[in-house]
Amino acid sequence: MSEPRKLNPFALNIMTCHDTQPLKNRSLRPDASHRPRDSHASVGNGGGQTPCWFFSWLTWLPRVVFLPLLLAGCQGQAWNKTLPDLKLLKLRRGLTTYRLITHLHSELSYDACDTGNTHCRQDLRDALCQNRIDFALLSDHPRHMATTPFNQLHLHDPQDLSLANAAGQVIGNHFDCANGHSVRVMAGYEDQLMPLAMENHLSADFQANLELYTTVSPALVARLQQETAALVFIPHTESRSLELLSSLQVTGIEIYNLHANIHPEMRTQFLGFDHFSGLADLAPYWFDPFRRHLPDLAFLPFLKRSPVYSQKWDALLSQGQKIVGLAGNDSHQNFFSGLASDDERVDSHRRLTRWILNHTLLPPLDGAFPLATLKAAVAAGQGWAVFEGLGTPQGEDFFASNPLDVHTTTEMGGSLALIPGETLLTVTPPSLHPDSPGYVSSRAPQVNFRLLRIAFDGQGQQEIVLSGQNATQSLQFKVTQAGAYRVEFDIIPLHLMPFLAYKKSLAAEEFPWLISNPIYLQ
Amino acid sequence: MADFQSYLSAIILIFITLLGASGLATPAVSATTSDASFLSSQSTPAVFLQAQSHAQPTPTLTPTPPLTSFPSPLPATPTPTAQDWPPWQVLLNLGLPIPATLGLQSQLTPSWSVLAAAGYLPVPLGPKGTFSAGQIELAGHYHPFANAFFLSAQLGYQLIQWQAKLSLGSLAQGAGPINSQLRLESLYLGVGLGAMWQLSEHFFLGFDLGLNFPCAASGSISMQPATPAGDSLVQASRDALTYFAHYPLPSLHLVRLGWSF
Repeated sequence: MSEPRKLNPFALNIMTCHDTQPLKNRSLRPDASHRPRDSHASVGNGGGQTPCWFFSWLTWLPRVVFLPLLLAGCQGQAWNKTLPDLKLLKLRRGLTTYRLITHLHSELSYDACDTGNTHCRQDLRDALCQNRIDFALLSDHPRHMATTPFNQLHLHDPQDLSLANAAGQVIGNHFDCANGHSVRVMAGYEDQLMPLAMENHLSADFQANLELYTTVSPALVARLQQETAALVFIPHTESRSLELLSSLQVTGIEIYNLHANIHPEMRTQFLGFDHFSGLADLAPYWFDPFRRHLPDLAFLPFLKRSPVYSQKWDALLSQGQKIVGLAGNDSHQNFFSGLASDDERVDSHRRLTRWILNHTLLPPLDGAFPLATLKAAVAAGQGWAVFEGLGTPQGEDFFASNPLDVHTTTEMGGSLALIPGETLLTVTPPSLHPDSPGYVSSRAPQVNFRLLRIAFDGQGQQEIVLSGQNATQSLQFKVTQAGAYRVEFDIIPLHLMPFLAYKKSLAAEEFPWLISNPIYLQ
Repeated sequence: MADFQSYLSAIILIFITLLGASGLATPAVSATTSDASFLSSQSTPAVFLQAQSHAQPTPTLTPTPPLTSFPSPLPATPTPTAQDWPPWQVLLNLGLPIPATLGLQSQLTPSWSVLAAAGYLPVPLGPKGTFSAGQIELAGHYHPFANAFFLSAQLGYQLIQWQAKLSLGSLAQGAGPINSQLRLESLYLGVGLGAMWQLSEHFFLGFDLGLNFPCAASGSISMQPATPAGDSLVQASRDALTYFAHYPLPSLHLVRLGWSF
C-alpha cells in the first residue's frame, strides 16, 4: 500500500504547470465584441505539459521575496496598440467616419527611414493597417519623389490593387491588411507647399519636377491644382508668414504638426515654447529597464498645441477665405532608432501614426470607392483633426441647420445662409471609444469644448460663443452673427492614469483632442 | 518586467549557488574569518589538506580523520567567541558603479559584522568627459551559516556625476559645446549578499552583490555658461533625472581586499 501523499509546498505550482490551461490560449478573442485589451493578456506560463515542479521554487521564491517590486511594475490594464475601426460607428446623416493621415513620409524621403532601412516601407504599411487608417496621403520630400515615376509613389506591393482615374492613370494604391482592414494610398510631396492626393507629376521631365516642387508661388499652386488635381496645403504653418499664407489661395493649412512640436529649435522659434520643456520627459520612456512605461504615451509630456496655429487659421478665415485645417502627422521613422521597452523603435511609424490623425466624413465605402469622393470631402474640410493618441473619440458631431428646412443640414466645411436667431449650430461632444485603452478605467476622461466664432472682419479674432465641460448631450446654439464657426474639444485624459508610471499628473492636464473644420454662416 | 524577473531569478540562483559553494558543501575551504579561526585552532586549514593529498604518491591512501569530518563540520566545531576574531579589517572595495571605496569592517560575532565605507573617484573618459562616483555607506552583514557567506543590509549616500562638453547640435543653434555636469545623488537602503574569505592570517578576499533602493534622490544638470537652450534643458530635465535617480541601482563590489590588524 502506498503511503499517503504528503503535502507538498510546491503542489500549487505543480498544478499550475500541468493542469492549468495556458493563459495565452484562454485569452484568444472569441468574437469581435471581445475587447482587444484582453488579447494582450497573453503572458501565460506557456508551460503546457512541461514538468516544471523541480524548478517551481524558482517561480515562487522571487515572487514572494520581491513581490512589492513586481507589483510596482504591474499595469492594471493592457494597452491596445491598435486603433479601432471607425467605420463600425453609426452613420450620421448618411455619413460615416474614416481615418485619414496626412503629411507622412515613406522611404522615398531623404530624411525618412534611416537611409537604407529596408523594413521601413513594410513598417509603414503595417502601421497603416494596425491603426486602421483608411486613407494615407503621402507627402515625401521632392529630392527622390520628384524623380520617381508617379505610379511608384504609393507603397505598392505586387499583390496590391492599383487605383486609376478615368484616364487609366495610376493615382493610388489599395492594399488589404491581415486584420481585414483596407488602406488606400495617394501621393504628394512636402516642401514649401504640400500638394496632397496628386494624380500625376507636373512634368514628364523629372529634373523640371524637382525644380518646380521646391518653389512656392500662387502660380505653382494653381498649376498643381489644375494639372495634378492636387489638394494644395501649406505644411508647417507655424513657420510661414500670414502674408504668404493669405496670398497663395491654397486648399488648406496644417493646424498642428508633430515634428514642430518636438523639434527644440522649431518650438522656440515658431511655437513660443522653450527648447526642451516636456522633451526631457521622453527619457524615462526610452530608458526603461524595468518596463514600467508605455512608450505609446511617451509624447504626452510635451504634446501641446501652440496658439500660433489658430491665430493664423483664424486670420485667414476672417479674411473670408475657406481654409481647411488638417493635422499633420509628419512621421519619418528616422529620429531615434533605439528600441523602446515594447521592443519597437521609439519613433516607429506605428507609434507615431496613432497620435495625430484626421477623421473625415464620407458616404460609406462600398467596394470600389472613387477617390474623387475622398478628395472632395478633404477639399471641403468635412472632418476633424484628431489627437487620437489620447483615445479614440466617438459620437462627436457638429453641423448647422435652419429650422425652416429641417431636412437641410450643413456639414463641416460647408456654408449656410444665416437666418439670425433661427440658424442652429448643433454640437455633440465625443465620448471615449470602448476599444480605447483606459475605457474600463474607474475614471472617465473629462471633455471640455469651445464653440468659436471668427468674424469676417479681417481681424482674425476668435470669440467663444459657447463652452462647456463634460456635456453628454447635444447642445444647440442659435446663431445671430455671421462668421466662421468651429469647435475645439479638449480632453483631460483621466482614463490614462493607470497607464502612467511617470508623471501621473499629466492625466489631469488638458490636451487638445478634436478640432473641427469651420462651418461658414453668412 | 520579464527581464527584471529574469534578473531577480538570477540573483536567487547566485544566492543558492553561494549557499552551496561557501558554506554547505565545502565549508572549510571557504572559511570566513570565523572559520579561519576554527581552522587555525585545529591546525587543519583546507589549503594545507589539499597540499597534503597532492603530496601522496599513491591513490590508495585512506582519508585522514579531518577529511572524514567534512560532511557535517558545523555541529562539530566549537562555537567561537568574538574575541577569537580579528577585530578590525581595512577593506578596499573595487566595483561598479562606485569604482573604489575604502572601508573598515568589524566582526562582532560569528554571525554579525559591520562595515563602514566611503570613497570618491573620478574616472577620466577622454573626450567623453569625466565620470565620478562616490559613496558613504554603513552596512551590516549577517553570516547565517557562520562562514564566508553573508547577507547584507546597507544604508548610504551615493553620488554619480558625469562632466562633459555637451553640444546640442541642431537641436538648439548656438548652444554648444557647453560645459555640463549631470549629477544623480541618493540616500538609499540596500540589500545584498556576498562572501569574504580569509586567505592568510591577515589577508581577506571577497565580493558582494546588491541592490540599493533610493529613498530620497535627486538628479540635475548644470551648464556653464548659461544659454537659453541650456537653461531650458536644465529646467526640463530635472524631473526626468530625479526619476532616474530613484531607480534601484546595482551595487557590485567585485573585489574586496581586506587586511586585518
